[in-house]
Amino acid sequence: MGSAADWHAFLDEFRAFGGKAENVMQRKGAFGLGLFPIDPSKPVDLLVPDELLVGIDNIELRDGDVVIKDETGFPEGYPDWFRRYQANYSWGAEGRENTLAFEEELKALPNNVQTLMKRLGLYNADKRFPGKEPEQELLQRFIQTRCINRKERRVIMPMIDLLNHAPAAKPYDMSGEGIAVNGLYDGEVLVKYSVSDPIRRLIAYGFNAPEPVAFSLFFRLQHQDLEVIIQGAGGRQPLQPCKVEMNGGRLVVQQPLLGASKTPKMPRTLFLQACQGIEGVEANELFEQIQQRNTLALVNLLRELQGVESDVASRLRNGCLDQLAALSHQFGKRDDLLQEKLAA
Amino acid sequence: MSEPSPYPSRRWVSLIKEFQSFGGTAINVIQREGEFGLGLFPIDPSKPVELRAPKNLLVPTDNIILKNGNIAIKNDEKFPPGYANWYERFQSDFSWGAEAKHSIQSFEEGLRSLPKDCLLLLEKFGFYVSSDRYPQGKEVDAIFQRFIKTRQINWQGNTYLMPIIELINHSPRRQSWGVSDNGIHIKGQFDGEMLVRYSIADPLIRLIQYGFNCREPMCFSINQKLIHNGRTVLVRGGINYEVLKPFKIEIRKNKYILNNPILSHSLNPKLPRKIFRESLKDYNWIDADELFEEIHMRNNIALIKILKSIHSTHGSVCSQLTNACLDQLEILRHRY
Repeated sequence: MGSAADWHAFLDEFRAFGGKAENVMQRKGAFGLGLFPIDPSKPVDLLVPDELLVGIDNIELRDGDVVIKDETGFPEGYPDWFRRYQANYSWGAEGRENTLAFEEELKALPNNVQTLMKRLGLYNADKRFPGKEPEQELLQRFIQTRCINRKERRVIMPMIDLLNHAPAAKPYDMSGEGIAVNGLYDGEVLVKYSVSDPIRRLIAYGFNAPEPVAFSLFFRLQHQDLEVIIQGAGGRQPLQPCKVEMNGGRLVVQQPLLGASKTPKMPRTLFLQACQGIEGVEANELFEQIQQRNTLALVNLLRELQGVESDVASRLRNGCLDQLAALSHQFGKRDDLLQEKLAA
Repeated sequence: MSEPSPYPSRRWVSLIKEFQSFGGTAINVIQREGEFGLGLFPIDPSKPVELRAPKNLLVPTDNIILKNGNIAIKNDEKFPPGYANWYERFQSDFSWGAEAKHSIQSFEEGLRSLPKDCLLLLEKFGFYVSSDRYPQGKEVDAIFQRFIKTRQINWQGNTYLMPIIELINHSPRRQSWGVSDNGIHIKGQFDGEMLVRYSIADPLIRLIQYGFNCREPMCFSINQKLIHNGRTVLVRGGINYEVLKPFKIEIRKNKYILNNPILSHSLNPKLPRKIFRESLKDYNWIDADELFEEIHMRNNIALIKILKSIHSTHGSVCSQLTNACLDQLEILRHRY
C-alpha cells in the first residue's frame, strides 16, 4: 500500500479509463484493509464500467504479479494499471498472504474435523488446495473470493473488490453499464457480496459474518419409505421454494432454506410449497428431520473443535455458532402463501 | 494406575456393619472410584445389591449442621443411640469429607469465575441466581447448602439426606429410588456401577444444579417473554416434575404465563409438541405450533449466546458449560 498521494494519483488513472472512485480511501478497519469515505458527510461513488471488468479466465500469474493475459479490448495502459493495482492494493497488499494463511490453517485442522467437513460438503482439502501448484491454487482461491457473475461471465471488478462484506449492507448496483456502489457511509464502505449462510461464508471467504439465512448441509436420510438426499449449498435466491424431485428412486432436495432471521415463517412455508404434490412425503416431518440433522452435525463439529487451538478453529467455532443461530430462526408458516399455491 | 480393589476396606466393612445394626440394609456393595468419581459398586456383580435406609435413619435437612467443618446431626434425640456418631464418621470418611466438599467448592469457584457476561445470561435465563447461591456469610456454609441441595430427597413433605444411598451416582436411563412409607430403598443386579435417576432435569439444569454433565433425554425452556398474536406470553422456564401432564397456564394482568413447558424428548420426540398443543387447546388465539417453535428458537439463541460468551475462556467449568450447552442444543432438536 502506497502513500495517500500515490492512492490519489492511482485513482486519477482509473478515472481516465472511465471508472469512478469518488471520496474513498483505503485503510485498515475492523475487517482488515477496506475502503472508507474521505468525508463521511459526502456520498461515496464507485463504478467499474463493463469494459474495465476482467474475466477470471483472462487473469494469470506472471513473475508473482497478477496480470491480464490477453490485453485485447482494454483501454491502452489499463493492463499495466491493473497489474499495479493488484500488486499494491489487492493481491500483493494482503490478498495473497491472507488466502495462504487461511488455506494452510484449514489444512492443519485435525483429521476428524476435516472428515466431518468433507462429509457435510463444506470442505475438501484435496480438491480445494492440493498443494501441487501452490501459487496457481492460491490465485484461484483468491479469485473465487473476488469475482462476480456479470452478463453470464465471471469477472474481477478492480477497486470495488476492495470493499468488505456485511450481511446487512446493500448489494452491488448492477443495473447500469457496469458495477457500482454509492451512497453515504458513516464508517467503512461495506457491500453485501452475495446470498450465503455463516458457515459457507466462512469457508468460501475466510471470515465470519452473521448471515441472516441458513441453508442445509449435505445429508442422506431416511424419510418414511424414501431415501432422501439433501444437496446442501448456499448462494441461491432464498425466498423461492427449493427444487424437490424424484431421481432414480430417491428423493433429491436441493438447497433447502432452513432459517431466515427476517422472515422466520418462510423456511417451512417454502419447503411445504416445494413438497406439494410429492407422494410419500410428510413435508413437515421431513423439514424437522433436515433441521435436526443440521443441528446435530454442527453440534458434532463444535464438539470435535473443542480444545483445537488455532485462529481458523476459532473462526470455525464462530461460524458453527452463527450457523446454528441462523438455523434457529424459523417458526410457524404462512398459511396465506400455502393456500395461494394450492389454489394455483 | 492400579485397578481398584474389589474387596472392601476394613473401615467400609465396619461402617456397613454398624449401619445394619441400626436397622439399615447394605448388601453386596462397596464404595470406589468410577467413571463419575466415587460411587457404589456391587462387590459380586453376579449377585443382587440391596440398600435400604429406613425412615428412622433418614436425616431431615434442617437437623444437619456444620460443626468444625464436619457434617453432624444437630439434635440426635430421635435417632438410635450411637447413630449420630456413626453419621458424622460416614459423612467425614465417605461423603462430605471424602470428595463432595472439594468437588462442590471447585465447581462453585469455576462457576463464579466465568465471564461476567456469561453469568448475567445464566441469571437472565433462570439457570442461576447468585444471591440465592452465595448468600452473605462464610463460603463453607454456601458449599454446605449446595451439598444438601444436591443430596436431598423429598419424602413425605420434608427433605432428607439418605445415609449410604446418597453415595450413588446418577444416570437418566436408570430407575429412581424406591420410596415407601418405611423409607428409601434400591435393589437389583448391576454389572458395573450402581446408578439411579436422581430427578428430572435437562443437561444445563443438571450441570448448574449438580455440577456434572449428563445427556438428559429432555429439555425445558428458559425464562422468556414474547408477543404472540398481539398478546404477551411469559414462559416460566425450568423443570416440570409432572412432565407427562399438560403444563399450567396462569393469566395475570393480561399476561399469559406458561409454566415449565417441556420442549423436547429424545426418546419420545413427538410428545412435547403434543403436550404443548393439549395444554393450550382452550386458547383459540394461540397458534400452538407456531408458539412452540418460537419458544424453541429463543432457547436455541439463548444457548448460542451463552456459548459465545465463553468462546475464548478456558477452565474445567467453562468446558463443562460448553458441553452442557451443546448437549442441550442437541436434545432440543429431538422434537417433531
